[in-house]
Amino acid sequence: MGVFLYFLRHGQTAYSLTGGYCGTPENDPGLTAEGLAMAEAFARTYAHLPWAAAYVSPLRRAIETARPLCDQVGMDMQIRDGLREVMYGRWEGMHPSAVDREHHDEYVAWLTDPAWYAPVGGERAVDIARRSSQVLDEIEHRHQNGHILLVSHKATIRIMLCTLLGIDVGRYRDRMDMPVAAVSVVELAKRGPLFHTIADRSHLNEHLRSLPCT
Amino acid sequence: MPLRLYLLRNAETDYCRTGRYCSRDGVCLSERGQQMADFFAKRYSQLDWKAFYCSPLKHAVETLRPLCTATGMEIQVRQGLQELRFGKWEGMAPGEVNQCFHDDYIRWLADPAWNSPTQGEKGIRVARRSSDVLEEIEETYPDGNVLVVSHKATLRIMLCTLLGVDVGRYRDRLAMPVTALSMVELLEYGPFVRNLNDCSHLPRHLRRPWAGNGSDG
Repeated sequence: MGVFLYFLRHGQTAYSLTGGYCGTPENDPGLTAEGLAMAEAFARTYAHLPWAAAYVSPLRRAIETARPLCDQVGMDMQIRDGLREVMYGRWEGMHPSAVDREHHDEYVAWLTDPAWYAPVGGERAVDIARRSSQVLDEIEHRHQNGHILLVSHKATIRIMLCTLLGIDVGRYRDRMDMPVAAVSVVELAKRGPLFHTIADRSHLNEHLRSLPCT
Repeated sequence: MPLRLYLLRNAETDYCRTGRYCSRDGVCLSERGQQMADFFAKRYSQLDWKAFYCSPLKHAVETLRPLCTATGMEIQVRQGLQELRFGKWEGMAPGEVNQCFHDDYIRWLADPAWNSPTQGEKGIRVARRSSDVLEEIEETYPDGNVLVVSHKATLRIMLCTLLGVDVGRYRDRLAMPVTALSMVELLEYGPFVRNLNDCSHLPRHLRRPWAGNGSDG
C-alpha cells in the first residue's frame, strides 16, 4: 500500500488569530480552546487509518495538535527539530504591518524571494528546505508502508510541499494557502510524490472552519 | 474579492470506474456519477457564481447540469477544456496499451508533456488550449467565483501551469478523483491554491478510499 504522508498544520493559537510571526522556543504559544478542538476533530476523523508513526515539531502548538491522535492510537511522538517553524529573528512577535514599517526594505526583499533572503536575523526558506528534507529522508528510509503524520507549521509545511512538487521554494508564500489544522496528503508513489489533497479541512465542523485565521 | 477559479473534475463514468482512457464524446455518467453531480449542486447552488465554463464532452456537461438547473445559469462551452485526446488508446486500460503500443506508452509515461498517446494529443498542446480559456476568464471576470468543469488530464495540466510545475509531471505529482474540486485564487502575486481535491461535498460512500488506491497505474 505504500507510504502516505499527512502534513498537518497545528491548530489555532493566539498568534494565528492575529498574524504575528512566531518561530522560536522563546516565543511559543500553545493552542487556544478552539485549537484543541481542531486537534480533537482531526483525531476523530483519522484515527481509523493504519498509522505507522508521528513526526512532530518541538514547538508546543505542534505537540498539542499531535497529542489527541497519538493518545487515541497509542503512538509515540518522534520530535524533530527539522520540522520547526521558520525562525523570524528580529521579526518574532511582530505583525507584518509593523515589520513593513520598521524594516521596510528588508521586508520587501523577503517578500520578493524568501528562498534566499532571510527575515532580519532569521532563517531563509532554503535553510528550512534543507533541515525538513532530512526528516523526509529519514521517513523514506525507515518506512515502507503505512500512514505517517507530520505536524508542523505554516511556512515549513509549504516549503516541504514545494520541494516535493518541484516548485521554486521562493514561491511558497505565493502559490498555496495553509490555514490552521489543514491537512495535505502526499503518497510516496513509485514515480515520486503524488499529491492527493492540499489544505483539506473537511474534518473540522462549520464553526471551526469559519474562524478567522492567518 | 479576487477571481476565484473552482476547478471541477467530471463525475464518475463507466470508463473511470474501470480505469480506461476516455476522451470521446457521448459518454454518460454512471448512476453513482449522477449522484455525485447532484451532491455537488446541492452543496454549491447557494454560492454567488459569475459563470460556468465547461468542456464540450457529455460527461462534463452532465456533471454541471444539476447545478445549472438549481441556479438557472447557462453553460459556456469551450473546446479548450475538453480532455487530452487519447487517440488509438481510446477506451483501453493501461495494461492493454502497454501491450499493444508498448514503446509509445513508455515514452508517454516518461514525459507526457512532449509525447502523445498514439495519434493523440501532447500535454503541452492541452496546456496551450486550456491557457487560452484561463486568459479569457481572467479578462472577462476580474473578480468573483467562476466554475470550470473539465477532465482528469486537462485539469491536472492546468494546475501544473498555474503552480509552475513542469507539465510533463502532471500524472506523477497530482491525483484527481472524480468530482474533486480544487480552488485557486488569482492574487496580486499570482495563482494561490486554496485547496486541492476537496471531496467533502460527497457522502463518504461516494468518496474514493485513500490507502492503496492512490496511483493511477
